[in-house]
Amino acid sequence: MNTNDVLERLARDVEPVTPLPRPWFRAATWLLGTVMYFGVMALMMTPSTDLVANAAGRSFLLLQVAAIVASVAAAGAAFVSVVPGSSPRVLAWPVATVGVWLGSLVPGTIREWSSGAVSFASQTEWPCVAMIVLGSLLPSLGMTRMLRHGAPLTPRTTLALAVLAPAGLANVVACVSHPHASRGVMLIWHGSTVLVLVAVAAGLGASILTWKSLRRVG
Amino acid sequence: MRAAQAGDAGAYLDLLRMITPRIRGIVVRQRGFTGTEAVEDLVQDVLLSLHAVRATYDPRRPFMPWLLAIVRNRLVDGARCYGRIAAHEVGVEDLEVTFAIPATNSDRDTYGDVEALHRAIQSLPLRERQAIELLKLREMSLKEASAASGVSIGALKVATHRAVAALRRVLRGESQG
Repeated sequence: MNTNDVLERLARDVEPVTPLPRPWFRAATWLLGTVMYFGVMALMMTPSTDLVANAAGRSFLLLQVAAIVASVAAAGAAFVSVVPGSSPRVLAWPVATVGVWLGSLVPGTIREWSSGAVSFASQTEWPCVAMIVLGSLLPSLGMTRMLRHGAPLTPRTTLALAVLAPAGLANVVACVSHPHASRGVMLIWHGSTVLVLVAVAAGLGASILTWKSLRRVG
Repeated sequence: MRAAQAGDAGAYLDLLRMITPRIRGIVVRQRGFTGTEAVEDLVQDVLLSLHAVRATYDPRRPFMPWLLAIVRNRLVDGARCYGRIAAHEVGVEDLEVTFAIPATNSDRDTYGDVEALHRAIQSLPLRERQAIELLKLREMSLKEASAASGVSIGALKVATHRAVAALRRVLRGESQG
């Protein structure tokens, strides 16, 4: 088809569209729904007295705050990444915050490993893995649906962030749902689960967030 | 663009007409070597992409960075696509042969050493030599050869088969010797 014909056809078929809200507003909307979802899930899985006991301890709380900040940064960056012309520097935020979150587990892990106080091989956290994987599924699907209205400029990164954000929050729920004495076990089981999910999402990104699918949505 | 988002077809057409030469200029600068058709394909791809994500344009922000981000992205995707095609595409018009085995590509249907072939045919038993002469040299049909020789079609087939096998043996032996 001739380019002039394409122009005329696009103009003829143009329909009014509502500009997407600002990325951080969209991220806040998603976070609101997701926090409520995980809040209900945490309350259903754990008696409130245990919840308070499990969440006790300053270092534990700081760790959870780091995970939440990483999730918020990932959610914001995901929505920014689908807006053409946005600064790519915003993508550095989730990288930095995930680094702080997982990095803060490393000193404790090294201490436990060198003292031999915890046997990493004998401790498994399959319920936490299931919680992170299954718990983050619905919110990441919701975010992906929202992201499909944007431009798939960096589909792998965008989908990785769309999984990192709920996985980080699901990790917090997994952490408070039962006591975790060992930092090493948390790093190995929770951290690696989140990283594997992010890697899988990055692998699938280019086939889920595509320009073709966007044209179908449009 | 704000008017286009509101559904103003005239304003949208004006905008598209205004930006198309600029998009074409960028595409030609970066992908001009791919040819006019490929350039126009990319320009159209950019226009369709722009149309699909027009809701992502924030009227409070400048238009050109938004447009150029889409152009850059489509150019990178176009280059990847071009690379993939170039890596797997085989220009058939450049092929000198069509099959891997050289003998298969020979367009000659005759045996090279005619003298040796003649000698080999003469060395065949009478019935086999007759079958070869009628069916292969004179190119008669089985029915015609059967009528001419008084040998049944089945016997002719057997004789031809044996003669060809014998000729192959003899000629291979000669060429190796």
